[in-house]
Amino acid sequence: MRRSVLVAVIAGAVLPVVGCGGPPLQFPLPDAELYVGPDQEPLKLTAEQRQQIWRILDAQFGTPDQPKVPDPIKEIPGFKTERLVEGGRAYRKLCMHCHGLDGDGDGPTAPFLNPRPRDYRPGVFKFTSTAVGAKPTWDDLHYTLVRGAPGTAMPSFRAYPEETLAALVDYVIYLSVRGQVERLLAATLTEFDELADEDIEDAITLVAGQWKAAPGAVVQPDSDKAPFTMESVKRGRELFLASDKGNCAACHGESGRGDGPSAEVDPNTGQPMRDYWGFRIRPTDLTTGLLRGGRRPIDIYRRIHTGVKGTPMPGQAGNLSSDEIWDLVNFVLYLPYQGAQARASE
Amino acid sequence: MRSFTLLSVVGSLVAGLALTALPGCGGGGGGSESTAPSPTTTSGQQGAGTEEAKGEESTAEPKDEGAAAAPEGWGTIKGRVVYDGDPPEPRVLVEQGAPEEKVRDASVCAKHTIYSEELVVDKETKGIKWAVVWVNRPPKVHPDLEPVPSEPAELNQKGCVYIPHVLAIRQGQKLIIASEDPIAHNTNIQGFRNTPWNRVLPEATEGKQTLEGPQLVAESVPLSVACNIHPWMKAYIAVFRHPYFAVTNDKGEFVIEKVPAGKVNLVSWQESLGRGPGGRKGIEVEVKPGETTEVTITFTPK
Repeated sequence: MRRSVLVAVIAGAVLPVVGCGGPPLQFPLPDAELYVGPDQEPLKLTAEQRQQIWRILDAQFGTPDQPKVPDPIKEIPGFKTERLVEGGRAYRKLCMHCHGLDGDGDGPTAPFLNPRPRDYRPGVFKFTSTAVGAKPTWDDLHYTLVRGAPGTAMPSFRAYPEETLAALVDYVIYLSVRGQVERLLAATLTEFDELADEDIEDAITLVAGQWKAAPGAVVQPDSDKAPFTMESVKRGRELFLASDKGNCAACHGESGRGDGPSAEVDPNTGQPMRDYWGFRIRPTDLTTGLLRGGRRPIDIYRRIHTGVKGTPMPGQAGNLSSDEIWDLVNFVLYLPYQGAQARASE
Repeated sequence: MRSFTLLSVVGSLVAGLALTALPGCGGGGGGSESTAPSPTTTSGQQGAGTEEAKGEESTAEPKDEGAAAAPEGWGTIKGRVVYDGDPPEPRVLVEQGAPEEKVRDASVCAKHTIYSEELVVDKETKGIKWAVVWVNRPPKVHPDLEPVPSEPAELNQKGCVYIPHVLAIRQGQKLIIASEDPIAHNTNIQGFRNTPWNRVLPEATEGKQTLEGPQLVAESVPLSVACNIHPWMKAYIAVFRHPYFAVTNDKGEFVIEKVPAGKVNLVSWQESLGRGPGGRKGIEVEVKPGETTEVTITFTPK
């Protein structure tokens, strides 16, 4: 009888602890096939190679609830390692169902969404303040969290306390950096069949360097915003239509509805437009007024200057002057109200 | 005694609750448990192959194990890439004189008929144009070829066609994007290891308009280049850590010079056929010092 009491007490006291600790939370293995491009054969990893990469990542980056980062990553401006545990907890509560445990953009909700949730692992983010080819800044990701992406399933998280948002930004950077190292290691391993310690170091240094350079790559206009006048809107419209200038209408259409001649499947190649992640993509209908990267004039300026990263939308830097881009900004701001304006003047 | 029983009942109840709660508590990790390997095996192995030559800096030293057998000197690989099938008829991408509704910027782009260059096979020799051939992981690099070429590589656009269709460059070599068209083009470069790069090139009112391209890092597969304004436009840029690569001419011929003597692996790639014989490892070629080794690489139709 005494034994039964003992067993019961021990069972009662110990089991819940063990039970809730559960099996340790772990990141999944790298994908067996990595998408390279629309006409390219995917990179294929063997089971052994996937395990090898996973073990390296586990040693360098820890697990979802015990995250850690190699030293060079700690130097990313704004990034704080000590917030990662809290960030991970919030991420699994708020973000994981769409963006996935390892940030692969393939959580259980993802297949039902169009556009698809961002896959953080290649380290490419569409809406940033930085120049072509540059990573987003910490503030850029924070802005996306606060603003959401209007017209998509990505909501605004403005109602959450600032500590949670900051921790989430850190955790998204963590997943993205981890994913990039994973991809670089996969590329090296499939090419050379082996991974040296220096390959791991190289990959981490390369990725850390790219993220550290982001604040220096923020796009600042050379001139002040042109006042919103119909003259500026008209100049913007000319640039929008001219094929030797913006050439925006090629994709966005003359009316801005996203129905330009280059928007559809090309009759010659049969290839629809695709983004960097391999998903079909259409030019934005600018008449809806929903701008995923933000509606502030500076957001639109940067979108035109840099383009939308990982998509066919190119940057106009070097092609259009700062003043010309501001005229286009005014035209884009005016587009949704074109109809109302026309009716009012009738 | 009674209280003991009660206690044990309560205890069992708690235990039972805990047990039933177990799957719930561990729920999040359940899925990944089956796919993820044990985290206890983190050590070892990753250090293997530290000595392997890979980067520019480390290619100067031959591999230790093979050093005794590796002959001294340098040789040339000369070869042809041929198609083991009927040469395809060139596909028309843009018809001459096509209207603006069909072809964006027709006044420039539909001046001449544009043919697809996805698989260009010479009718007489069956040689494949625009194939890329390279030495897989050369054990060392000839001192003459060690410095990265100082002259930039250029990807030009003329008549809404990329020239050349396939460009091969060294990692660290400057890349210039150019246009001779009086209309705007965008240059959308996408790879795997490289960050995507996409910018509009201004119209060329006179002569050539240029833009400094991205600093590309080596990739095992050539990067794709596209102009989304003119969706038929397509090109590839292959980037290498070493100088032992070539793009075939219209007869499918190529030459790779000053290759370290000994057995090397020759890899080939063609945009619509993928990797050539031997896949990503390639075919073995014996390079003899001071001599020219002739090779024929045969691609079979897909």
